[in-house]
Amino acid sequence: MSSSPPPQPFKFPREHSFPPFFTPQTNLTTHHAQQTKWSSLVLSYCRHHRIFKLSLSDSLSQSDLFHNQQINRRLSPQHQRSIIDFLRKEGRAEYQKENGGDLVYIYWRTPEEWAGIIESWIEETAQKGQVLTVYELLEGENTRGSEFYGMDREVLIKALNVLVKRGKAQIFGQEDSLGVKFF
Amino acid sequence: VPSNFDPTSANQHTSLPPCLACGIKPTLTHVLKAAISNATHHNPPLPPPLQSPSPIRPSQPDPEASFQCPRCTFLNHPSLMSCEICGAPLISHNLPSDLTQRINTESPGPFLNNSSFPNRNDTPESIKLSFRGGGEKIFYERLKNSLTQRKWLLQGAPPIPSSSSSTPSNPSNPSTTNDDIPSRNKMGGIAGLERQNLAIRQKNELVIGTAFEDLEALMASAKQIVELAESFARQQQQTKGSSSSSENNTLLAESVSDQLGLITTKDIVGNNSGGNSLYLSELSRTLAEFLTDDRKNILRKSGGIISLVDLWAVFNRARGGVELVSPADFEKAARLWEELNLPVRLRTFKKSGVMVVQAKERTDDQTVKSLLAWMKDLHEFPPEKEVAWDWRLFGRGVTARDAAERFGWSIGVAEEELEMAEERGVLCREEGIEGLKFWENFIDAGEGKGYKDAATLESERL
Repeated sequence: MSSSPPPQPFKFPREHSFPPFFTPQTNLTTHHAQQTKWSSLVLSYCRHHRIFKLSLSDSLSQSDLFHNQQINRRLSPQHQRSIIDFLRKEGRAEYQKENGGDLVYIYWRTPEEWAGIIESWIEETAQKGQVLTVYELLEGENTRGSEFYGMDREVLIKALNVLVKRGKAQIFGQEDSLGVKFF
Repeated sequence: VPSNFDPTSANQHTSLPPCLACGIKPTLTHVLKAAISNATHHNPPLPPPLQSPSPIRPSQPDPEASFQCPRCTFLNHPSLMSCEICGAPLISHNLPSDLTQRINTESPGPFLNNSSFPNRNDTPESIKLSFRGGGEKIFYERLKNSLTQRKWLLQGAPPIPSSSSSTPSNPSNPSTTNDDIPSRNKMGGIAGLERQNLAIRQKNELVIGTAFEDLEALMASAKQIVELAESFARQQQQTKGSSSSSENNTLLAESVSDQLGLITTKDIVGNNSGGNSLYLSELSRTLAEFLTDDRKNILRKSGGIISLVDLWAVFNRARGGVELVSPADFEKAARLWEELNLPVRLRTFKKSGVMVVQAKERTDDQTVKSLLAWMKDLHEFPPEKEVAWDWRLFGRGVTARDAAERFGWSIGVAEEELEMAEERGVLCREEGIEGLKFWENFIDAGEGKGYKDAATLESERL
């Protein structure tokens, strides 16, 4: 995986150009399939564009995720929210509490998964016992080329907290200059 | 009472009433007596075993009559052209051959000759009996006896003619209806008129009463027969105690009603529960026949499926406004189809509760199949307007209206059928500005079993 966004555009699944895909289905089975497809579409879209947070109020106008201009169909805000809820139940999304639920983390990789990735990177680079700042992890020369390079800071801290809970790391310092010691 | 008061020689005349025997006009009291006795007896005229017409123009009997009637041997006045008693022509010198033959073959007794009284109707108003060789006393006794015993009632007498009220019981004092009425009027003036009206009203009541008695008797007997059939069936049930007895019950009851020819008339079988179920089952059969009738072709005209309400309207219209079926009975009858194993079935759509009627062999699977075939066609034929999506891949959405046009359904039925197909996951919906459209289901085509698998696969891959 490269750290920079891939140049080729995101390839939407064929359902994205299927008009009924934008209407909430009443049949329970079909509805479930629809939600599932939308969820995986959201996740893969966010992964593709390395989107960590979605703003529900903005995403309609911003992205072509919920709006297919070609067939002139868009997903209603209620339906969007229901898909986010669906993701949340699967542990793939989380509302940011401070912003009144408008911002939502999309966990195309969950904090636990990120924690695993960071841990394995620490081991690979033999930095156990070392102290690293959060800035170093996100923007440092050493982490360039790693999965978490340039990732969302809040999501990274969530991932580090997972490591703290596992007893693999310790966080100290102030808000702006957080340091992490890995064991 | 005059001395010649003899019923055997009684006669009455529509015209003038002088006594035939004595030539004296009867007094008013005689006429009144005749009327009163007539009213009290209220007797019909005897079924006349012997009838002889009365003369057209009665006249005083001539003691010096020299011309003997060839039929009744009455000695007529020579100037008369026809017999005074029996009205036979008195052309003795050159009798027609048929008349002489008839006289020869028959005994010289009185007989009825309708053609001989042209002024009268078929029902004679009076009987004149003449006795020439005696025996009138015995006849009078017998007649009186039979009048008091009313023997004619035992022999199934003919119905009372309305003119019977004018039959006098005073034979020697001929009276007429023309005389009766004025005499009554004289009795009471306005009161007489009122009495007349009362009599008319009573007569009307009598007529109406008897007419409806007949109807009620018919109804009662029909009910009795149905009850009888049911009691037979009950007996069988008790003796056999098997499940087949209920079939016998219905069979028997049906055969009875069939023979009565009153299959779908609710009033006949009454309101008891057994009769009602009989009515419903018969109505159910009639409906099934009506539906499957090839000439009417109701089902095919409406695309093999018709809503119960529409069918009810069509059915009642076909009945031409008589013996209309109530909606409740109609629905009950339709529910009996399955039980009676008839080739049509009632189907209730789950969502809306709309009830439709369709042939038994027509199933949802077939409907879905035809819907899908249609959808497949839409992949082949380009849509009328330019569309943004890949119609070769997805086809296009159809509204209930499209489906109704395509299959000949009513709009309501089309909606229900499309939703039924959606319920089965064959179709999916799209709500847009153009209304609700149904598409082939590309959302859940089996491959979208769950993104979870895909997500875990991807995360594992990493």
